[in-house]
Amino acid sequence: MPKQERYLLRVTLRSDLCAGSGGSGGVTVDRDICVDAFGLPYLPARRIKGVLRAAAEMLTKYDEKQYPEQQLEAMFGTASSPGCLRLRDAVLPGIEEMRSYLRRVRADKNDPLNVAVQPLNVTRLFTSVRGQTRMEDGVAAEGSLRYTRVLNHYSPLHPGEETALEAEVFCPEACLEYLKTCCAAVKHIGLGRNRGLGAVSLQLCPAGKAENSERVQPAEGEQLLISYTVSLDVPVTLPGCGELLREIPARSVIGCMAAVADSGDPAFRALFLTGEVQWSALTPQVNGLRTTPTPLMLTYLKNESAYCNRYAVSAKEIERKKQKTVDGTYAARTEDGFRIAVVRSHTIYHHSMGSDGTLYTQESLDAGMLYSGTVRVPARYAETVLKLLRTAPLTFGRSKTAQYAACSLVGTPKCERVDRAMVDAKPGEIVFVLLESDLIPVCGALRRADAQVVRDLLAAELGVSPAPENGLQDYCQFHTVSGYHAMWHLQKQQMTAVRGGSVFCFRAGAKPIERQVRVGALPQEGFGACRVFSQAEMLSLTDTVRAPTDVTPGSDAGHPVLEAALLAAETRRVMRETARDYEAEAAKQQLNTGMLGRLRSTLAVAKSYEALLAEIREIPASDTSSENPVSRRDRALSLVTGLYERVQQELVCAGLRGEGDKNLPAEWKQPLELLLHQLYYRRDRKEGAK
Amino acid sequence: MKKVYYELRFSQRSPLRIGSGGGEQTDVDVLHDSRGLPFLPGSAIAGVLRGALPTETAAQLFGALGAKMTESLIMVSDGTLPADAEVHLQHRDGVGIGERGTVIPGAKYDFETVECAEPYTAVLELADDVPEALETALDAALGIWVHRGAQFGARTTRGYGEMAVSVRKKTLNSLPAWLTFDPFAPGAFEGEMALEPCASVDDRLQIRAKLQMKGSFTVRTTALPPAEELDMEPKQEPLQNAAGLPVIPGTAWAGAFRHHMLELSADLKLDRQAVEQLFGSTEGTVMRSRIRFGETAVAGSKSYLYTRSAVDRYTGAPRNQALFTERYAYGGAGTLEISVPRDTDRSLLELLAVSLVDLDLGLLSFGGEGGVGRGVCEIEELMLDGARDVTARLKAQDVSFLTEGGC
Repeated sequence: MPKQERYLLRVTLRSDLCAGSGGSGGVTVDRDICVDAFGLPYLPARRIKGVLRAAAEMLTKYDEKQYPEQQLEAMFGTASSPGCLRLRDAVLPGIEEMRSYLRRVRADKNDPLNVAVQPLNVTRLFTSVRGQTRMEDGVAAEGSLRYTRVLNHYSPLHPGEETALEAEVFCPEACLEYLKTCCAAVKHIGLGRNRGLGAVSLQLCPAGKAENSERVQPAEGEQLLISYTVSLDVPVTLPGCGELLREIPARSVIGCMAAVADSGDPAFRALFLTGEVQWSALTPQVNGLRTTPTPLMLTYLKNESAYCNRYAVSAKEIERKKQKTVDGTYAARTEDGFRIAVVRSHTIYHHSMGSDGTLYTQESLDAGMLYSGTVRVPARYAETVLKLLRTAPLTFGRSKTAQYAACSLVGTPKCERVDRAMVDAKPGEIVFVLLESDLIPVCGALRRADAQVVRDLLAAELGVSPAPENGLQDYCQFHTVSGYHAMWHLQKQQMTAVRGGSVFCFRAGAKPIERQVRVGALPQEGFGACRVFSQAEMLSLTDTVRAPTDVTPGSDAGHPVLEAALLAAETRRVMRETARDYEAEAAKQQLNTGMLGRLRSTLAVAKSYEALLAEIREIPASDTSSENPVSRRDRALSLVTGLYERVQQELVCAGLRGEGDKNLPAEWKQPLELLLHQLYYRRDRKEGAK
Repeated sequence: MKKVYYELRFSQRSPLRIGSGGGEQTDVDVLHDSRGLPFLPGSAIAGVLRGALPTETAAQLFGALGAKMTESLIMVSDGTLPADAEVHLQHRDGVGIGERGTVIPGAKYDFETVECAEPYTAVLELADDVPEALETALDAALGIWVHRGAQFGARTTRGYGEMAVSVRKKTLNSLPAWLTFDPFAPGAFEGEMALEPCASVDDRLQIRAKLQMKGSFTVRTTALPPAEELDMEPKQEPLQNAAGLPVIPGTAWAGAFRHHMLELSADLKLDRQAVEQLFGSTEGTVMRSRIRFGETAVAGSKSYLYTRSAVDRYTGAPRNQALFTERYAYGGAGTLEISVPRDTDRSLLELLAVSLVDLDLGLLSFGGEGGVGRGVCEIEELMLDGARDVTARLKAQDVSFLTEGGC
């Protein structure tokens, strides 16, 4: 693979843009845009790649000599081979700082902007909602009103500037000029591009190296265990056999590494084929700990809202407590229990263009989660493995070149001696074998999938009797595993595997039992990793709670520009709500529609709040009488000053301004405009009814 | 390769009502872009342009839905204002008037209008494989816009959203030229030839009446304090446009003519339904008005304040708290523009002609306080289709001037 350079693709909006998510926004928006978990808008990489490819096809159509089809295929790939272009979603510049800031404010319930940073409010800051009807004979067709959310042409963070998004792009330097030309040929993107939306301009800019270049010193020793952590930079889609995989299989990791390794090197076979080097799957990380599939002896008691170790309690104790399975979750082991994490995923829609255009959805693991894995390696290969971890493009699952799959190494891989501890179990005591990964059972040269074969295999490895233990139950599940040969574009053979998390009970024999053993076929691909527990250890595992998966750490630095924009938006929201709440109070002033209309006209031309009050004071108090002791001028003044006193109080209450701050916000007219409209509307109805 | 772009500039001739669907300041607020400036959505421009083309051509150019769904061959951008445009936003009121000429309770509404001297600019881009015939048809439709103008937004049949249109066309014949072309850049169409106006047979009869006001008139709106005479405190004053001229909106004209024509049809035992259909309806089956009235700005008028008091009918004394002041406009001249389809029923055209005669005679008044003699005018000149002078026939009360010689 030619060396890839990193560039930044800047997408500048020349109009409002609707990069549709395929979903609707509740009952108010028919077509919504793509936003991340924080409500920040983004442009999916596959959509960018799609328009770039369409632009490239157009270049070929008009000048095949200069832009031959081979160049297009080399850049964008074909159905059978990936192209050299890789790109990620286009996001707002400084997105990581924004996310860190939003995460911090969201976690702080006392922060005055806690409501403003809720995802929908963040989305509203950057977007508008457009209504549209179809016209028939000059009038709106019934039932044709549709609402579309659009990303605003102009940025709320930098007033007057066009909104820009940036995407990381990786491609060989030799292809740079061609890619620049493709960018110049892209003029529109997204929905409604025929009707005013989606005009963009694309520029490709150089970017600094982003690869992790930290040096790692491996520890000395015969067998080393290298632990490393990766961050899911974008969503990852891992198709399994009829299920979404929630861990990155070891064979995917091997595929990634083997693609950049030198296949002529004698170490290649040891690294990937013979099982000398054993790669583990990448699983979600919890509290900095690596997880494995949740042990099946754990169950969730719905009535108790608690987890339970079924070996540590009697069947009667958990009877009728609505036991729920913990399938698809991952557990990090602590001294006395487990921390169970549910992996977050979401559904994304795609639409393929052209004559065979189809709409389809895809479930993906959320971006931002941290996954960790291990490599058990003889010391002589440790440096090679570390180099591979640092340099290989970490892409897992489907759609490796755009939108999905991209991961990056977090921190420095850690090397340590392999723990060869023994289980503290006397002969005749019960021991429990927990599968920390899937296991492919083999019987001689044959792969066999029945519980007894598995017990036989484990018993042989541990040197114990395979006979089942009376009164103690095994917890075992099977499923089908497969994979994909990227090199030959072939589906791998499907195999039946014992699911990770299965637990088997044996009675210890005279032979000492190792804490960690590996059983069954394909150890190099992470299969068959087992951990053995003594009975005392198993019974002590009772403190099990749920915990969130670790996410990419953010910086503590704030984002003053976003904060200012959110502050302004939250101030507007509080002012508008205050105006709505103040309506009943304001109605007591009993201003008629004429006076309300006059106030509204005065407000429209008033240069400042003080100027407004001065204008109102100029109204003659000629309407006072014994029946009407308070003039309409004084009532109007009371209404206006009362509203703004309330606005100031609410802003102080909401923590949006200090007690002594008497200056009104820039959009000070909004609450009075809204209040007058409400009063005008109700008063008019009342006077009309009279 | 060949790429064709059009730059369209829309200059407002009358206030624009383009609703956002929201109503925080008024019942219908104006649509704003993310800078806070009003704009013409690309979908609205495309819709109006589509309506200006023959059905077959429109379906080919703008795409079609249904079984034979096709993609639009034309990309229409939003019509936007420059960042420094000065925009005049106005709150206007509307009210339903009953048969007796009084306000219908609960039928009052308000809305925002916008006036701006700067033009709205939009860009049209043709796909690269558009047949020559379609391009020619589009040129012709845009040429008609240049000649006649176009209408956008709501209540275009009542004078809102009238725009003068100018078009420049740029054709790019090489790939490198197209790759470097930015249609939104300032000066992108500099030096390109403007599209010529295309005078075509108009399927609507254009009536233009030069009016001379004969006395005072008002179409009331809430007063804007402070007036120079603060102690007089005017409560209502005539509706004004951004230039400060009193205006008679198309809705006021339409209301006056509709009421008058309904009365005439009742007297002459003509079909009332036909008149209702001509003016459109929002009740039952919603119908678009077939007759259009423009907004009349009255130049050269003077304003004055008038203070009066309600009198108790029993005692003859002024009623307590019933002293009020209003501002009126007096005199001045303006133009009333009406258009109707040429295939309008003959009897309706004659009713319209009689109404114009009555307007000239002062029997049909407009605006508020018609009962005390306000809102009377004289027609100084009446032109049809901008070329045919029928003033003499109007003055001779020959009501066939709309039905003979061209209709």
